[in-house]
Amino acid sequence: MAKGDLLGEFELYVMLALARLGADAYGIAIRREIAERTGRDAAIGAVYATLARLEAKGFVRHALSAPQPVQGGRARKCFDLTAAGERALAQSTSMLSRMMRGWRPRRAE
Amino acid sequence: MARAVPLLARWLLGAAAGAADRASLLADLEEEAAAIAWDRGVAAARRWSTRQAIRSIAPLVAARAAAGLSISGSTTMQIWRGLRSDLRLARRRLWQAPGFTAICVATLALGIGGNTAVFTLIDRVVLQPLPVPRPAELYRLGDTDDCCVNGGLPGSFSLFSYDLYRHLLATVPEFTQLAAFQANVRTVSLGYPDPDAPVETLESAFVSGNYFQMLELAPAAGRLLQTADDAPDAPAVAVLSHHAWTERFSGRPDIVGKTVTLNGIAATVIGVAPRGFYGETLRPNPAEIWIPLSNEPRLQPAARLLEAKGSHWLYLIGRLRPGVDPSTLQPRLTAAVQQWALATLTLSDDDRRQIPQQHVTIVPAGTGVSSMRDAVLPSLRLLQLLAGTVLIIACANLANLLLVRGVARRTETAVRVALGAPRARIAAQFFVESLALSVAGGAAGMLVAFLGARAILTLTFRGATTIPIDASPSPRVLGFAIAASLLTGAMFGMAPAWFGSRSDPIDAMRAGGRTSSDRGSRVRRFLLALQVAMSLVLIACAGLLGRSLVNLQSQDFGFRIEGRYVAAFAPSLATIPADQLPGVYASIQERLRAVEGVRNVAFSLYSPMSGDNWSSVITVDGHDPAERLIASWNRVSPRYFETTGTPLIRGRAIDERDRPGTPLVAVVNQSFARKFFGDTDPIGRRMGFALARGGGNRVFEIVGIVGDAKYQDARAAAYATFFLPFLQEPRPPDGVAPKLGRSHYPQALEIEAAAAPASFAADLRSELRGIDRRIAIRRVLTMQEQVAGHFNTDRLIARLATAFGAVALLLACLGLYGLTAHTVARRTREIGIRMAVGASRSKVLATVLRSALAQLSLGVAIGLPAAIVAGRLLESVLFGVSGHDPAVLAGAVAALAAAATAAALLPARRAASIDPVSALRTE
Repeated sequence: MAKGDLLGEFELYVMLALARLGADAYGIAIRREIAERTGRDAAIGAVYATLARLEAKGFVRHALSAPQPVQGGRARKCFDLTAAGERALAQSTSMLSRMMRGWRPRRAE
Repeated sequence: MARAVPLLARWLLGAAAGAADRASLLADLEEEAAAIAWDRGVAAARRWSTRQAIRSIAPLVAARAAAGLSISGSTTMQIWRGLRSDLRLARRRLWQAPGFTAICVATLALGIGGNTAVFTLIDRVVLQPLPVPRPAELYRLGDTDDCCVNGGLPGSFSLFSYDLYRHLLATVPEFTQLAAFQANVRTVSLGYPDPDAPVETLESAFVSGNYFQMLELAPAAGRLLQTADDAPDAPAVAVLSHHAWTERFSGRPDIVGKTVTLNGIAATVIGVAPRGFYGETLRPNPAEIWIPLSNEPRLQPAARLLEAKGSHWLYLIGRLRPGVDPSTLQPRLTAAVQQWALATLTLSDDDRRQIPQQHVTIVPAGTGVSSMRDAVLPSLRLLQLLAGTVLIIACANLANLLLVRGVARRTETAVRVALGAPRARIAAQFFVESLALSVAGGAAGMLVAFLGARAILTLTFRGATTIPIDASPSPRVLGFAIAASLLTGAMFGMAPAWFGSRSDPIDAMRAGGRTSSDRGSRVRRFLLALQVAMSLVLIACAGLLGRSLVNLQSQDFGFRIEGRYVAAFAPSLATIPADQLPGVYASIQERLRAVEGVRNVAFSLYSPMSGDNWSSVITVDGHDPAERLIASWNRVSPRYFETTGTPLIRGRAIDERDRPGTPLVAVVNQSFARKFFGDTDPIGRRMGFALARGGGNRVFEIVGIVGDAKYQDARAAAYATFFLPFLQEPRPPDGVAPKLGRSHYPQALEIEAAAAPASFAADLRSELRGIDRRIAIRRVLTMQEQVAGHFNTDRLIARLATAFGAVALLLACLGLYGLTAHTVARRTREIGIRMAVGASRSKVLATVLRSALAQLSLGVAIGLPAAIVAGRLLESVLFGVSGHDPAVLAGAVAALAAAATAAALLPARRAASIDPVSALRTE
């Protein structure tokens, strides 16, 4: 496995958010998911930049949704994991969990 | 209600994001901001979205940079892309109309080039620092140019005696070096120990031993002067300028260490100054050889200055230690000068009262001593003003041309507007075209500037053998040309961009581009009137300056110019022992008169209009000895007044009778007689030089009166002058033979000749050499050339003003032609109809001409008062013509009217030859 296929930390968050959100994964929703779960107030631009990078790597793809059923509703740019993305996510998370096995954070004394 | 996302946030995010993401990114932000606004209020939403936008910039830009995507799609990128395509389009369009483009570029080249040429001169003469390390550290003591030798108490000290220089050296340790140098350059005779080698002359300057150390210059060959070279008993040495080394010694390295003679004194050439260094003062014919001060008494024994404590002849420049405030030195130097004056000089009571006024001013000297700068700066400013006017005219002209072009392109513009092109883009495109033109014009202008600056330099330094500056453009000049080009483009591009983009699609697209409304036509008329007015101002100025030059040159100088020649003696003449002089002087006249073509020969201390003058305090019969009377004086040989063509009014001229031992005589000019004797007869009255303490012996008897002649200032009246014979000197009371001062050595030779053969100068030289090897002359000039040399600046200004005036006239005609031709083209149908219903061709011609002349009259009406104001401002440089000279103004109007009529006649005749049938058919 090439080094470029490893996921960075924020990329991992974005991919995990994608995997959880399923069909509803679009920019601001991903940001919200990360913010709510980790407490990290990511910039929307960072999410988009990461998505673009992942798409360039072939891990995610996007499609425009049907317009929202409200007046002036817009088409959202929805993202989805590709098969390669699924594999990369599995690989990265399993590496992480193997590394973490048996490790406890030290207590502050 | 305020929007949940502030505009700034939208703009920031939009600019940072790529085109692909921009819409959804913004929509996402809006969505979340709306939710926040619902929960926590609009203000919170706005704060949040602004923070989001700002924090998003870095990751977005970084991602795009990393992805290797260009920043395409962003606003700046769009503008840049648009600009590039506009430039491409402009280039294509301009190529398509080569005639139009050529006219525009030529107009701009003249306008920008003229300005840049004048600026080149300003740069070289005024702004350029000396070619030495850290010129900003150099400061000069004194701020006036009181060249060349002064006595007494000047008030503000700029010249210093050697003794005073030594005194000041000890006063100001803040100078790492304080150097002294001669205020002017003097000619020195350079010879070789071999007695048969020819004697050359060089421009020389005496400098203190630390002169080059102060400037921190490195030698091009050998070594430069050191303090030890300036010791009283040091062997005589000299340093050559690089220019003299290459020109006179063809750059031979073996010149270093060679022994030469300077005014007959053996000296060793120890080195060559660096290339491009012409001394501390910008002047025509700069110093070619630098000699330590200690050699001065030996080299000019007749005019020794070094030991004369009260003779001020040196300028002082020092290098200040970093961090020292020069203004703190001023009071100390002033105190030192006053203290020195009290301790050293012999002072009268009146002098003592003046001691508190004696002071020294310290000025920056990074650009050297500024005598020439101060002299030519007003002229350069005037020229820059004239050149600037031409540029404005050129701008008006180009704006008009482009406006007309914009009208012609109206249909095309209309189509673009109809298809949805934003007006700003269309305006930008017009503007870019203007800028492209101005940049091309600027590039061509650089060439014009280089040639122009070289021509201007040659005119400025006419008659000089060495010109210490060149015309190659410095970075400052390049910057000026670029700025001028862009500014010009912006100036003339504005109106066409505005009106070009204003075309109404409906108006323009109907009826094949024919329309009743012609937007911008009033602007065009205004621009043309402005052009005509400014051209009139320039032509009038050129007329006034030309007239003034003619008046200056053709005035009655009080001596004859035709058939008169002058030459300057080399200073080696002054090394001839006094007892040989009577014989030598007699044979100069005798032998030269035998040269073919020569009618009369004379010599004198100064020749007419040589620019030199010697004034002294005198005492005259009929005046109180305590009265301070000042007059100019000169020593002349027999037949001098005949030879120069100065008329003898009464009495007798100086002739062969006036020898050493015969009664002392003087001849005075009319101004002298009027000034000191009023209505009484001066002949037989007596006069003499005043003594330092007042009074004096009136030893000279006035034997004749001659007409007034000008010697120094062509604009001023002739000075009151008295003439003395050579070699006559009052016998001192102790009865020993009088010592001859430097006034007894003639500096000028005057010849009257019927027609000078080609070998004239050579014949004169060989005759003089036959008398004594030490008698040599420099260039033989016609009196015409000597006189003309005084008007270099006036001639330069007059010529350039004429050139600028001609360009302005040409541009005004082009403008009028263009406007008239455009009007005729637009009115083709109307004229056709008029002719079809019976208007005669002459009537059509008259109609078109009348409208062109109305345009002209408007311009003249604005220009005439402006020309009178400009003339008033010029009055200080004018000679013999007033600033509102009616003849000049009338001539300017007539020239403009004639040229304009010719320019309008062409399109008018075309209008008159319109065939009504075909005109009506153009639908």
